[in-house]
Amino acid sequence: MDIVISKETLHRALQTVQGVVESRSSAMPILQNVLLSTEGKKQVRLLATNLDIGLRGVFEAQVTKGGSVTLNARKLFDIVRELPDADIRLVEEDGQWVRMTCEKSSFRFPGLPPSDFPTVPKAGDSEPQKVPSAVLGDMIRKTMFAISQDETRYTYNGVFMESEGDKLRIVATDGHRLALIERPNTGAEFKNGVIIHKKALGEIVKLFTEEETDVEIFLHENHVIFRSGDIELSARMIDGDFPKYRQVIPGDNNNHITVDRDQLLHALRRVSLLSNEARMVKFVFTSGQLVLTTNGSDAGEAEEVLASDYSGEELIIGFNARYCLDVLGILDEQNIRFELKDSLSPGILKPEDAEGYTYVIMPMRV
Amino acid sequence: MIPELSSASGGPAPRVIAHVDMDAFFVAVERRDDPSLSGKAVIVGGSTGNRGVVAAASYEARALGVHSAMPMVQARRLCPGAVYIPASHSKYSAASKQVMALLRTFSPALEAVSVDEAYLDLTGTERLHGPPYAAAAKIRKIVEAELGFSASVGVASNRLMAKVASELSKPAGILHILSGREAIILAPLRTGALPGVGKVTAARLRGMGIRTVGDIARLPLSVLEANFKNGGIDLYRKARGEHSAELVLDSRPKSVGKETTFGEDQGDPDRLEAVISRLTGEAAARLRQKGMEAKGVTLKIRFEDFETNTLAAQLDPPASIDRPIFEAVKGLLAHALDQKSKGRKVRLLGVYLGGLVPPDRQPRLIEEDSRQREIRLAETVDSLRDRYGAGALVSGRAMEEMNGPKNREPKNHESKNQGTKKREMPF
Repeated sequence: MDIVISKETLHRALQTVQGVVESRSSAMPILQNVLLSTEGKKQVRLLATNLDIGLRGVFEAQVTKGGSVTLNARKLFDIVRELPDADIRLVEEDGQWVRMTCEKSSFRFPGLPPSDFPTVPKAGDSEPQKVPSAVLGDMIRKTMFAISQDETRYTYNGVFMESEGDKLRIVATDGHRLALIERPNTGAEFKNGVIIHKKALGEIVKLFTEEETDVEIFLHENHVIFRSGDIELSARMIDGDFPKYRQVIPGDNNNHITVDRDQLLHALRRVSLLSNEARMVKFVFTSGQLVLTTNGSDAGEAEEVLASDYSGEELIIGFNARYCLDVLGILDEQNIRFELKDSLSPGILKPEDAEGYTYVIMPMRV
Repeated sequence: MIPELSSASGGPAPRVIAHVDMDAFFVAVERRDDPSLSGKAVIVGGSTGNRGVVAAASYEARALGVHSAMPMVQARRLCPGAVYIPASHSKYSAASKQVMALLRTFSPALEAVSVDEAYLDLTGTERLHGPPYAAAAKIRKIVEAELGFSASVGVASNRLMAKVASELSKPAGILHILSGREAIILAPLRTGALPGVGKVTAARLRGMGIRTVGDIARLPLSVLEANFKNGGIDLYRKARGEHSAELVLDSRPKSVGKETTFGEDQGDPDRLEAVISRLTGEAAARLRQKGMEAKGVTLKIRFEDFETNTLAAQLDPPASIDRPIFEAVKGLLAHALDQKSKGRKVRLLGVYLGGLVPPDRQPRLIEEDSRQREIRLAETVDSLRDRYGAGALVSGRAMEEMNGPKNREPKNHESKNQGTKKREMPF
């Protein structure tokens, strides 16, 4: 292999795959590498994978001699970042060594055999489902925080995406709280739904931000593949049944209370600093106000009073502060609405003036 | 003559230590919840069937010869008319918290030694609670009035004698052993009445012709040391009623764990996995017994050349049931064998649970029922093992280990976070 690629392009290419490269030394050292292969005379393809997700991108380059090499992705990225804005030449030498030159700089790296690089599923010829890029990114961003980090509950380790009539829906839960977002569907079909692996979520949010373009989504055996332009992200689908989320969304929470999101966010942050290990904050709703209190920790006690439009009987409910802060931090709307039943039943939090977002939290025992 | 430290003539005023021991506590809790049980013979056991042993028996049942740890079959023969109730430890632990909270109002210096007994340091509370005997009576009365439970209270100048006193006063009694009278009270008691003298020690003492505590007190220290090594001095002091009055005030453990050294170094991954399965089960059971959950788990692994590694994993959410803990430990073991062993065999394995927190007050939104089932299952397994011994119920994986060679030195570990007695994890 002998190619010339601009520093700017190689830097962007390596940056794109960086999040997918295995960062820790694992049983497979090659997972820390990126595979570079020439495609025709004008392009080089970069491929990285950690076996759960894979990312391939095609970038411009001048190919003098075709071939492929694998190199440590982190090392290469760190060096390229520091190179001057000029053309970079990569030449394969004997025994998988690669020489990189750029103006007066020269580096030699040991590579690993490209044939050892794991295969990563490719988008097939099937008809893709299309979702506007920014919509997908936003839906994932507003739900992914609610997934579980408990690896033993693997069906909770991803977000669930499904279509239903004219709605596209994404749901995430860790079993204690649940985030659900719905957006108008432009014709995509995921009838039985797919669970997208958690490792893919951060990449999706990073990669798919553009308003005008669509992400093409392919379901390929046990992978879901997202393609936009020259970038393709494949993620292992989580095999298993997503929890029956519909039955935990309450329908009869008749106490509706509107609160300023930003004020609540800041008050809750302050109060939660003195919450106990379980991070419980007591929400006391009385006529016209919401009082947040914490006690029971050795650190002290805290109380914050906020205005609300509540007019019913006193309602006391304990929530894990983190669960509330997570959602208050990602919503954009000015006002949020609590929909509550009593102190033991699941509560709902949603934006006041926007449809299509529901967050359910199981209260703690006060 | 060396002057007696706690003699009545001069010297510092004696400490006032109370030992509060609840009478047939499990039965009392059951009676609180079902008053129709009062006055009846009640036996709390691990299981309602004929299997298992007695966890607690009411005094009516004890009168017929039933006692704790007796096989259930035997209890049913002695006391066929009794009401048999399966133990529900979460209920007893909740009631225990109420008791401890109430006792703390007498003195903040409280050491809870188990669900149903605690030491209280009442030194200097005379103006508040009256002299020791009156204070003990007040404790008994208030516990009875507020919570409906009967307690026995022993008061003395140190922990040992306070415990002996409560034992002698049972049930529903009060005994104050005056400072200076310790040895006289102890002398006629059987050696087994001394806290810390178990069946093995008592049998060895019997072999030496020693039957009472007074007999021990007459032996020279050298004889006790020759027979009991380091335990000799302990017996020598205890037989004279000498003991510490210091309470372990914060008894919340920082970690619990189990480790085991193999009789023969092990290399078989399946066998090693079987061992961590058992160790995890035992460590988790201790955790549940303490009513805590762990935020982290550590695997300790010592190879044949004595190089020791520790690997840690987070438990999120905190756990006290075996399954998620075992999953995490299994991952650590696989990593250790894969990355660290370099072909060496394993000499020792240990599983430690740390970052202990009270159980989550956060119910689940989804599958709360199955979580409750898992917790109940763990509690049931615990109570069966309590009654029958650890081998009564063994997971298939842990059973694989039983075919293997015996291990050298099973070791319990519990480190407390208390001032100077602080012990770190033994790594």
